[in-house]
Amino acid sequence: MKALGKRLSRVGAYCRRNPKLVSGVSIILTLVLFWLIGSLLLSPTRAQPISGLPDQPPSLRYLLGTDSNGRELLAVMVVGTGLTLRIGILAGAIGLGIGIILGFISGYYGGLLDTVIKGIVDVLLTVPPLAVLVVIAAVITRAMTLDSMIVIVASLSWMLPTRTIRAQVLTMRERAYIQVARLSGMNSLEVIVKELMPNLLPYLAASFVGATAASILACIGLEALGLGPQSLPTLGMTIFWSISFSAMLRNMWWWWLPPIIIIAILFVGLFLLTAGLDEIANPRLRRRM
Amino acid sequence: MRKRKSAAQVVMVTLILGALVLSSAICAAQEIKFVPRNRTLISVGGGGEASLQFPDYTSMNPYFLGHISAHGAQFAWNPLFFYNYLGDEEIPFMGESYQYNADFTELTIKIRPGVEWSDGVPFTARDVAFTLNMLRDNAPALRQSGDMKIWVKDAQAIDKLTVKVIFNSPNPRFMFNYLMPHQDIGIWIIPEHIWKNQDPADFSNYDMEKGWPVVTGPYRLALSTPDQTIWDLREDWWAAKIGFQPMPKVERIIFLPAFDETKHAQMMINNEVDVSLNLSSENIQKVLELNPKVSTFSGHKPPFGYKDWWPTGLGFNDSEPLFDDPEIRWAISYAINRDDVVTYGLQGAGTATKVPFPEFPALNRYIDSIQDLLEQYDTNEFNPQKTVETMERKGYTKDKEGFWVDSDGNRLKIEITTFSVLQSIAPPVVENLRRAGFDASYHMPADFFSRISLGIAKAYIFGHAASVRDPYMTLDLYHSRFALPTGESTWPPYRWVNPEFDKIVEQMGTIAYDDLEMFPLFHQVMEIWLKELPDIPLSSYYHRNPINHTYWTGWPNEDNPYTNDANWHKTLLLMLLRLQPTQ
Repeated sequence: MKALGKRLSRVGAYCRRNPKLVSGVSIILTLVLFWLIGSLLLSPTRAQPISGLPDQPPSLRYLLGTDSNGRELLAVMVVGTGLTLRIGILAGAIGLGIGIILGFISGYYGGLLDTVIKGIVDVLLTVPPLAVLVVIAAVITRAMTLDSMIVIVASLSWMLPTRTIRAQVLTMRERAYIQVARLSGMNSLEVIVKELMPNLLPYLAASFVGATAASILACIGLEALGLGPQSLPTLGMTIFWSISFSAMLRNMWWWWLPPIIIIAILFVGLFLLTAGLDEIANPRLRRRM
Repeated sequence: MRKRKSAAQVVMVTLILGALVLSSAICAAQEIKFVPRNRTLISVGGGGEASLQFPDYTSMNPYFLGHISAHGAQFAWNPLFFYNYLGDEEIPFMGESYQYNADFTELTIKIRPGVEWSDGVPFTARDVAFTLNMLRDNAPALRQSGDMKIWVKDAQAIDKLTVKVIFNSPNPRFMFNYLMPHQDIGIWIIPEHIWKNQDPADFSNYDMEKGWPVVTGPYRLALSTPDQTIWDLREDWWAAKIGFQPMPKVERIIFLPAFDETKHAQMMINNEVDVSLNLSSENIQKVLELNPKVSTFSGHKPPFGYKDWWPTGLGFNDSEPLFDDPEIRWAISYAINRDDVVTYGLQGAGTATKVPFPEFPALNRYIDSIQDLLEQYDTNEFNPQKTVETMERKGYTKDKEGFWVDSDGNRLKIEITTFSVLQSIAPPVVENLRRAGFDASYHMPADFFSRISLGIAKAYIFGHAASVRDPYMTLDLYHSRFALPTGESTWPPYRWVNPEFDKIVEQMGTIAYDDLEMFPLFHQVMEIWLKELPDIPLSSYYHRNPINHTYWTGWPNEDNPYTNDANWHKTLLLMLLRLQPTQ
């Protein structure tokens, strides 16, 4: 009991030392809870067209009103938050996964492979990602699905993780404990998996959150341009429909405002989470209590 | 050193002066007289083709294949006749009368005496013959030249006021389809004395100093820039001179290109424009609410506009598996609740349609003649149970999530392609289909048109313009000569093949629109069409053009339907002749 109390007080002390992490986690958890509880209380079919009367302002019957196609906007927010998080997390994970593989190969092995990977990354980083994403999304011949959206967004979210992970690996591979590991007979793969990766975990976690945020941003950008999955009620598509149906001109604030608020909250949460994780990964950023 | 500096200063001053002189010259060339706002008509949007700027502002050649902007070409030249579909009336203009021979292989047109070009040269039968022959001889390099090559064997000026057109094969609709402008179609007669020494595929017909374009209409081009074109009234218009028409009261017309629809609405609310490209049903209602000076063809009540010749349907590439089965097409039709299409797709301001024709006065008598068929084949019937029966009879079953799957467990996917104009209709249609067990979705790719014409888009929500006075033109859209293999571009895109249908349609094509023989043939052909349902009718299409009464009155409306109020249609002059200033 005493041990638990001690542990809790240690956690409490850490939380006081890293309020950004706590705030970030709390905000993201709140959004996840909004999605989970909302999904339990509201049928996802209510986020689809012809579910309610069109163009209804918020009322007891429709808490966040409806859009012109009869989607209930509270249900849209619930489903849309889940879908947007899913796209961001999966696309971020894929991007980071590719970044980890290429970054470690490039940074650890060096040589021609490093030159090639570094060259490709440097070139692709100079290309405006939204322009490329718009072209990719426009040439897809089938209707956009959630999966194709994830793949498209992930296709341009691996370069930055690759470059930053490579940079980290380059500094770490010269450290003494890595030399010792090598001399003790570990092969390269073992060094990467058993020595480098565990030491980079906090940094990878921060990178993952960053990649997720970047993916959500790219995804919402594409969707707001009308290039997202048009049959799905994501947050970005909701903004697109509100623009297409002139919700501003028609004073339908309940259509365009809620997705913007959720997106703003989401990005604040992700930013605080990244900042908090950065403090863990980078001792120089830690605050003393 | 000082010498060099002063030389540089001289050069600099010379350059600045030169620039000033040049800019003054440009300003002088572009200078136009003052016309007060209350004598000016400002139109925004045209047909919507020119977005933000007129890319072809230096072109006044109405036959360029790339000539797309409705920035004046829609009324610069007078036609031989107008056709007002709202009242089913032919309106003679530069022409006085016309007559076909017995087998519709020749057409003779009498021209009104006293018609003149804007440069004072008399308009004669030679101009008409020249235009038709010129188009025929330049196929396919010019717009509508392909049609002239098919139909025109020769066009001859019999005398100054009589022209005879000899066809390659009988065509009882030539006059109506090409020389009687209505909606977006019609051939403008151009001046032989200007065009005869030009390469028509390369001739811009734009030279303000020479007075080009030389026109027969009451306005001359005063300014043409990417941002606007300005047309000013000319006092020497032939129709006013001979007392055939009054001089229009509109002294200046300014055409602005299309902007975002919200901007059109705002411009109308702020009285910045007098007539605009059509708005969506939701936006027009807001504009009417915010500016009492604005009205529509139907006034302030639904449908807030007039019915266009472009009924909307759910079309298919009928040669592709699943959609090549008439029973499946009917099963899909039964799954769609047209009330939802109207309520959610048209915001309650519209109507469903049972046929692929617009319900215009001249067409209604045909539609009335097939009421028995429409009862037997009710294309608007919403009956999900019939969908279930058909699908089960075809061997389909539903999976755990309630979607139809074939014997291999593959879901029946319906990916619907559409575009922004119909974006409000797609969601209720797709949701109806999903509720009926079809794994339906929709998207609006930028290249929707080529996807549909190539057949890659196997299902699409689109409209089609064709019939106005008799059903032949629409029925011809479903002829199998257009049914090219998927991957080869074709328009119309239905790719439906029915030899019996083709045969009757071909027969209808040789009969005049007002021949009573049309009716039994129409009944026969519609029985085939309705049974097979190659294209599922959804809703009528409306033009909801806001019109502003601040400066002008006399707009056409339901009570006085002398024409429609589309600022891009080739009948725009009919409206200009009736507008009266309010101040």
